[in-house]
Amino acid sequence: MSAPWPRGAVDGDHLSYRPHRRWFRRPDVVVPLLVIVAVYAYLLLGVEETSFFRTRMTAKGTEHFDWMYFWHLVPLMWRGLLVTAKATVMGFTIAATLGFVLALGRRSRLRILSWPTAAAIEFVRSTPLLVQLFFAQALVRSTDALSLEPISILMVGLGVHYATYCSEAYRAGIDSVPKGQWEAATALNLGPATTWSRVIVPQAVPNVLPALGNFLVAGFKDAPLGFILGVPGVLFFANTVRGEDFRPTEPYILAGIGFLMLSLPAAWALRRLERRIAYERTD
Amino acid sequence: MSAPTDPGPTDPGPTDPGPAASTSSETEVSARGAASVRLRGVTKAFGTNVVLRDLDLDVEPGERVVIIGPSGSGKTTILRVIMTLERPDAGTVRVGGRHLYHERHGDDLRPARERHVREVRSDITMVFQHFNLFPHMSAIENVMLAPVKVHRRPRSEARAKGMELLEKVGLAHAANQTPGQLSGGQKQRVAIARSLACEPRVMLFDEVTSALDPELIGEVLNVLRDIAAEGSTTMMLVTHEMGFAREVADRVLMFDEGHVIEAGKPSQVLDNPGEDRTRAFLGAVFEH
Repeated sequence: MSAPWPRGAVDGDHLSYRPHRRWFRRPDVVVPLLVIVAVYAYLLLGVEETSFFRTRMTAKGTEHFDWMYFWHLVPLMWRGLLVTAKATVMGFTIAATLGFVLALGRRSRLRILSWPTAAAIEFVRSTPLLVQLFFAQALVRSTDALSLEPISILMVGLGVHYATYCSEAYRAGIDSVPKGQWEAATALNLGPATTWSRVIVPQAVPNVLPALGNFLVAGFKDAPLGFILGVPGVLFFANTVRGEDFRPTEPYILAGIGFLMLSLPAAWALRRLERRIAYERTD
Repeated sequence: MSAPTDPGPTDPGPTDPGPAASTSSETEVSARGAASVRLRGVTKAFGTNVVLRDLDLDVEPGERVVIIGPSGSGKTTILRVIMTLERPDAGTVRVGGRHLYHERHGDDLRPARERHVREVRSDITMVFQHFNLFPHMSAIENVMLAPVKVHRRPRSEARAKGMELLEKVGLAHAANQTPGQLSGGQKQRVAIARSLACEPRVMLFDEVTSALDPELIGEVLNVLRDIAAEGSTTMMLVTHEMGFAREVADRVLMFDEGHVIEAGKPSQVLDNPGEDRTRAFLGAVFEH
C-alpha cells in the first residue's frame, strides 16, 4: 500500500525524509480537513426542522438548471440525507452484531444449529432487499402488536439483509486465522471465551474490515429503498420536490452529490482505520 | 540490560554438563511437579491411513523422552494426541494418573466432557515447530495471557513472573516487541517461555528447531537444556537433533509405522541400534 501523502520533500536531487508526524500535526492534511469540516458544519447548520420538503422559491422555468434554486434546495436535501444516514448507521450496527452471531451459528459443530443458520443466510442473501422491505412492511401492518415507524422497518430490514453478508465476511475472516493459533490456544489451555476474544477475533478483524466497509457503503446506497416505506430520506426529498415544483434536474443531482459527500469521507476514514489496525503478519 | 548470549556452535559440545540424573520418582503425582504419561492401546487413523496402531507408552514423571523416526511415522501424532489436538480413535491416555479422554463412573470409563478434558489438560503444554505465537501481542503479553486468563493471576504478578521467564530464555530486553520483530530463534524462545508460564507438569516439544535457520538452533537447544536440567517437568521431544537427544534424553524411542520399534538409553539406540530400520534411519539422518 503506498502512502497517500508524500512523506519526504524533494530537495534538489536528494530526497530528504522527515520523521513521520502524526496526521494532525501535518498542515497538508489538517488544512484541507478543516475546510471540509467547516463546509459540512455550515451545511448541517442550515438544516431546518421542517415537517415536509417544501420549497420556498420557484425555479426560473426558462432554464434547465437554476443555480439559485439549486442552492436553495441544499438544506432540504441534507435533512433527507441525515435520515438516510441514520437508517444506514443503525441498520449497519444491527448487521455487524447480528452477522457475528450468524457466523458463529453457521460455524457451530451442532448441525441442528448450523444448518438452519446456513439456510436462513442463503435465503436472505438470495432475495432482493426491496422484496424483503415490502414483506417486512406487510408483516408490521398485519399485526397490531408490532407497530414500527417506517424508519425502524428500514433499519431492521437493512440490518438483517446485510447481517447475512457480514456473517459470510466474518466467517472468511475467522477461517483466515491460521490453525496454529487455535492449537496454541489449546496448548495454553485457554477457554473458549479467551480464545475468541483475545486470539481469534483480534486477528480476524483486520481481515474483515475492508469487506465490512464495503457493506457499509453498499448499505448506504441501498438505504434510499426506504422510500417505498415512506421514510423521509434523500430520495423522498428528490421525489417530493419533483412532484411539487416539477423540477427534476436540481433535486436529483443534489441527491447524488449528497451521497458522494457522505460516501467519500466514509471510505477515506475506513481506509485509515484499516491501515491503523493492520499489523505485521508473521508465520 | 542483558544481551542474549551468543548461542555458539549448533552442535552441543561434550563440555556441557549433562542433565541431573536424579529423575526417578516413586510417586505417580508429586505436588505440582512432573507428571507421568501413560498411553494404552492408542489408535489413530486419518482416513485409511493408520498413524498410531494400538500404542502402549509409559513416560515416568520427570523423564525426558526423545522420539525419533522417519516422517509420517506418527511421532508428532503422539504429541498431538496427548495435547488433545487429535482425538484418538481408541485407547486411553492418562496424565498424572488421571484419564484425559475418559471419566470414571464407578467401574466403567465414559468419554469425558469438555470440562474434564480442560481440567486434566492444564497439566500439559506444547511447543510447536512453527512457534504459533500470537502475532498481535508483544512477547510479554504472549507469556502473560495464560496466567492471567487461565490461572487467574493478578496482572502485576503475571507480568513479574513473565519477565522472569523471558529473562530465563534470554529475552527480557525483547519483552515489548511483537513476534514480527523477532528472529525465528527468539520467537521459539518466547514460545517456550509462554509454555513455561502455564506451569506445566508435562511439556511436549514438536520439532521445535526444525523451522529455524541452522545458526539459531543452538540458542533454542540451550533453553531446552536448562529446562531439562531443572527436572521439574516431564519432557517429550520429537526432534532430529541427534546430538541433543544423546545429551538430554533419558530414553530414546524409535518410531516407525505407528509402533515403537526400539527403545532404550540414547547410547544404546543411537550408537548400537538393534533394528535394521533404526540403522537405516540414523544413517540417513547422519549422512548430511
